[in-house]
Amino acid sequence: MAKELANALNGELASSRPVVDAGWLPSSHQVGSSGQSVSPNLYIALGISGAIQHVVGMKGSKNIIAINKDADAPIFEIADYGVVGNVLDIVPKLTEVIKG
Amino acid sequence: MLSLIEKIVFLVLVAGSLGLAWVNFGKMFKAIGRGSRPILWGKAIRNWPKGLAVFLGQQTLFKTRPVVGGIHAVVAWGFTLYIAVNIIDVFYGFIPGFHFFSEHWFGQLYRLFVDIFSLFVLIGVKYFVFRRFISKDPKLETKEPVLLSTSARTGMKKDSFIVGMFILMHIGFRFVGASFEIAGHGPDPYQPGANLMALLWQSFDPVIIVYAEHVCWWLALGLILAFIPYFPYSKHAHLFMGPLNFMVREDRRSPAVFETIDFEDEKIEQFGSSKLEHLPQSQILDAYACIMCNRCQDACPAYTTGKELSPSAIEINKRYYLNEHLNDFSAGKDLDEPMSKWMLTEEAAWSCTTCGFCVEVCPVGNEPMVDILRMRQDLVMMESRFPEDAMDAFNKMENYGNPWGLSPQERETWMEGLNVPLMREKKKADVLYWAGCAGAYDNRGKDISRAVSQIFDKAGVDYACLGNEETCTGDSARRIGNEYLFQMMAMQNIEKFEEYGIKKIVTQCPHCLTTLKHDYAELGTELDVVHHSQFINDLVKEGKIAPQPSITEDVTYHDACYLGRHNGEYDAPRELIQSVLSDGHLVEMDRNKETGFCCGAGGGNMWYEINTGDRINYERFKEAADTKATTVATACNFCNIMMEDGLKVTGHEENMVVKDVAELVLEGLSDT
Repeated sequence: MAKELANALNGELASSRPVVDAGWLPSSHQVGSSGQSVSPNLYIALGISGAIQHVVGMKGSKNIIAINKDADAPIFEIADYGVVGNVLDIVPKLTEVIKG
Repeated sequence: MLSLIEKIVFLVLVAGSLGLAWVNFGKMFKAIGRGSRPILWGKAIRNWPKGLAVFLGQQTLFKTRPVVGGIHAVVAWGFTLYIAVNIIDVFYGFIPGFHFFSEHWFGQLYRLFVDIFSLFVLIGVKYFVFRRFISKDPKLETKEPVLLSTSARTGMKKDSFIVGMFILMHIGFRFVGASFEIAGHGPDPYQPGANLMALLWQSFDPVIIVYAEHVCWWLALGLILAFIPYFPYSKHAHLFMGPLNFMVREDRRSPAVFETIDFEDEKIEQFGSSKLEHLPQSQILDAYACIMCNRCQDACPAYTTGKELSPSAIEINKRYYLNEHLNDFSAGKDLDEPMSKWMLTEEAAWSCTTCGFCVEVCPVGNEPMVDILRMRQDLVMMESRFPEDAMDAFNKMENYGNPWGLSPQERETWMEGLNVPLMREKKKADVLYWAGCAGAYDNRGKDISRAVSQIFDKAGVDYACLGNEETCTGDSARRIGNEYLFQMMAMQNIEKFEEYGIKKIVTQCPHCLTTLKHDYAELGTELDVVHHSQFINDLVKEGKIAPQPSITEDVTYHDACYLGRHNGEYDAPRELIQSVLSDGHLVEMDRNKETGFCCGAGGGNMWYEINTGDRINYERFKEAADTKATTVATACNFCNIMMEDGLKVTGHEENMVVKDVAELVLEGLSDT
């Protein structure tokens, strides 16, 4: 699902450590203090809570959009645009719109 | 009992045995003497009570594996008793008609004691032989991917077999000999076991009985003579070297803290340890003290989660390397092989969280963790080979004063909305409250800092913070092996402390606590540093705050390694938790206090990834969840981060929370 969105935007998929631990992505895609630092033009944080270990790897991004069901998640403090809602509902629709 | 020829042969063999032992022990001590930092042997005299307590008291065996420890104690006491027995038996052989207090009550007691103890030792050793060779206890094996030399793998089995057979035969033949003596001279009510066995020889010719008694005497004592020179090559040397190791071990302020390096000294050519002779003498002695029981391996968070590190493999590899190269090494030859090739792989060195569990449980006082820390110094400062992410952390510490690389001007964001006094405005305060990098930047760390300062306000503590003037203590730099960077960070802070005349510091970070209190003391700056749990607990005891018991569900406490094992504080956080429990209980995880299990972040592991094996924090969180407690209490910012990660990954977000003890106390104070 996230991959479809990334493809639609011609972007790259990255993640925080738990996603790598679960084996969904190889460790080279891990962003954070023990991982890669990235600074793309657009960073879409899907369900990222905003823990400091991850944030230090992406805070240089020019535009940050955060989608998280928890309105108090710290990621919204650094996001330029934030959407409070379930990633599973929002992402497929977003992908559709971008593709369309 | 012995004939003249027998006596002469025996004395010649004694001289040969002792002569060979002198040569072999000499090589062993020369090998130890090649180490870089001398052992202060004079300490052995001062510390004799400690040696005796270990040797006779067996007190270091019971922290883990109490049952096996108990059986060991029986064998060890039996063996000690046999030192006296052997001497008495030599007199018995040499002086015709000699009997040790024969009809005196003491002699009777002696015979009874030896008779019974011999049987106990035989049973005990048979159990150990069974455990190693037949039931094959997995605890005695070292799993892949740990580096364990082939000579060690085969040598350990051979050595165990020799030692097992030696004890069985030495004590067995002595016992059989006693039974032949009874068969020849009539029953002795004070040797019930030997009496029973003597029944077997009743029908034997008296001449054969005399011969048999001689053969048993020779086998029992001859085996000892053969074994004495073998000691320096056997792990069984632990029976002298273990207690000696405790007597001469270095006095450390804290288990991971050792001397600083003087970078002005141009004579120093080697920072840290690359080759065996770079290790301090006490670390080489460790190899001779090691009995290869793997208690440290069982404890090690890296090993138990499948990484390349096993602390016992360090000592075992070291010992077999010494055995193989003893002639050359003791003669002073340069072997020129880095330890990373044969003792401990580089990845294994980086896998260590410096939790100190291995040092805590070692029954012979070894410190494998110190070998690792010294090897890291070499890898970082001499070889420049270390995890890439650690480089990133070093750069960020150096440039931004925190390992996350966040702006040093953002250290005061946690204070927003609170009235936190700052040193630069207040100039003077009783207590400096040190929030630390995690307490200033991490979101949960900020919560903890806010809780601490609110508690201080309620208790009327005269405190202040350095805020943006604070900078990383250098803990991670030092544990990763970057002594140079550590000293740089330390000097910045020490200058600040001098500027404000700071003497007393309270911090919520056990890593800052250890570094400020112990590592800075090595640099010559003695500070009175306490952990927030200790300080707040004192506030409660003094009646300055009275938290209301408000927690109705069970709480489990996860010991922070750097508060517990590294600073000896297990009670303060527990007492604080107790003070706020109403219906709930404090429930302990299986591994707690001295045997607490690491969260996985220590020793710099927070800043780089070891991708071999499982995550330590998930393992620990599962243990916490098994207690059925709904709150996991922590007393360290990093434990807090690691345990929250564990909570999310193991799917307990809905039913459990992770909270610092200060947060729990503040909840109890919220109504006042």
